[in-house]
Amino acid sequence: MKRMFFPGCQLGGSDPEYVTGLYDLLLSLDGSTGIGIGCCGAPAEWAGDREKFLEIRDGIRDLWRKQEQPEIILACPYCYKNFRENMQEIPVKMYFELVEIRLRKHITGTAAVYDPCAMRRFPEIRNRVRRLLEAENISLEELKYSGAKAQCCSWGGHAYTVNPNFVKTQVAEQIAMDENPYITYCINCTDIFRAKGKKVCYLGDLVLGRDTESRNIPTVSNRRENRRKLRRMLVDQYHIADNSPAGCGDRFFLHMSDALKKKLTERLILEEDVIQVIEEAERSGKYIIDVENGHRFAHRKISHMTYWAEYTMDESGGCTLYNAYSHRMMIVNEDKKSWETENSSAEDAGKS
Amino acid sequence: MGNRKLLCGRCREELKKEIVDFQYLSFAFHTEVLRCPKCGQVFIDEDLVEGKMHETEMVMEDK
Repeated sequence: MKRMFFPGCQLGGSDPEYVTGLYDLLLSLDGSTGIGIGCCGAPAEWAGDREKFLEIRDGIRDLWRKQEQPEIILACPYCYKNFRENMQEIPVKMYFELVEIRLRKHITGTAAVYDPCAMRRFPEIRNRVRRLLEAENISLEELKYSGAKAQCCSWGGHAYTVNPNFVKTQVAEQIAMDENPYITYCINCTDIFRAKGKKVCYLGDLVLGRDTESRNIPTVSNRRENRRKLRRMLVDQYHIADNSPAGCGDRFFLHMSDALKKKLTERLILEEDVIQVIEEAERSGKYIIDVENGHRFAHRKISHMTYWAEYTMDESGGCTLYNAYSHRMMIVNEDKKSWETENSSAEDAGKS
Repeated sequence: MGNRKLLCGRCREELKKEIVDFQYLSFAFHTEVLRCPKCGQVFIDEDLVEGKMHETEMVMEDK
């Protein structure tokens, strides 16, 4: 294997067909090209979890050595930055640096290239994007903050987890820099800007001959499911061995309004976590009933978070979700009363 | 939340206000929330989560 495609964790989360489309393209150039899906470790680094970051980095290095040290083809600007800065022995390229890459979809009018923050130190990549666009019949504008001064779209550093208000301001400022559509080459910038109504054309779509605007913007739960779908697609279409642990399967269907879906995405609440809450509540009977409307409230601690769901069960076995929220603070000794009751009963029984 | 009537699904008891303990990042807190007087199941409404609890979480994280 001379080349290996490493699309990163977010491209397939946004749309698995980006990964398979680009992989098909790479295979057409070199049929021996391999593929490895996973995370480059950047989110662990952002979280300050150095140990996890080093574990992921070392795993990538091991994989690279075992695969006879191929050139790694990347699609994510932050993966590129991470490889260049932390895995310098590994040769890397962004997929659009390959000389054979051409744009299959053509655009016209005026647009501005939005450089992702990870590309500040890599003028050769930024220039390559502009060279690819030179042949197009478009007028390119440079943004006030681009190139070495490129700003973050708001995705980096887990800002959305720590400070949602900052994210709102940051996104608003970025999309207001130019009224014309942006041409992006980071999928996170793409999805974040589109979610706020900015007209965006993603370079990957131009390369694959697709229309960015026709794509659905993924919710946080879609992202998780898309990654599973990608794994299945790679196994089915390319007969790639699946060594990853099995995810949870489909359980019952969760009905909810579009507004609630949006809220869950903003609060980073996965539908599968909500389903876990409800499943456990229905199994154990541990829920609370609002007498007025019959809604049930249930909660469950999953990892560091406690998730709450307000729902009703449908006759079809599905479930309608009315609200969900979460907190990091833990409830202490919630079941203490039943524990005390059971133990005092046992003690009483022992005394008699 | 107003004065809506909430029942424990397990015990069918009406929830009553009670002081409940919470913990976050090795800090302990307590506040009055609705709780089943029999089994201890707790109910925390979204207003409390989005308000006082969230503010406390942020303060503890900034320490």
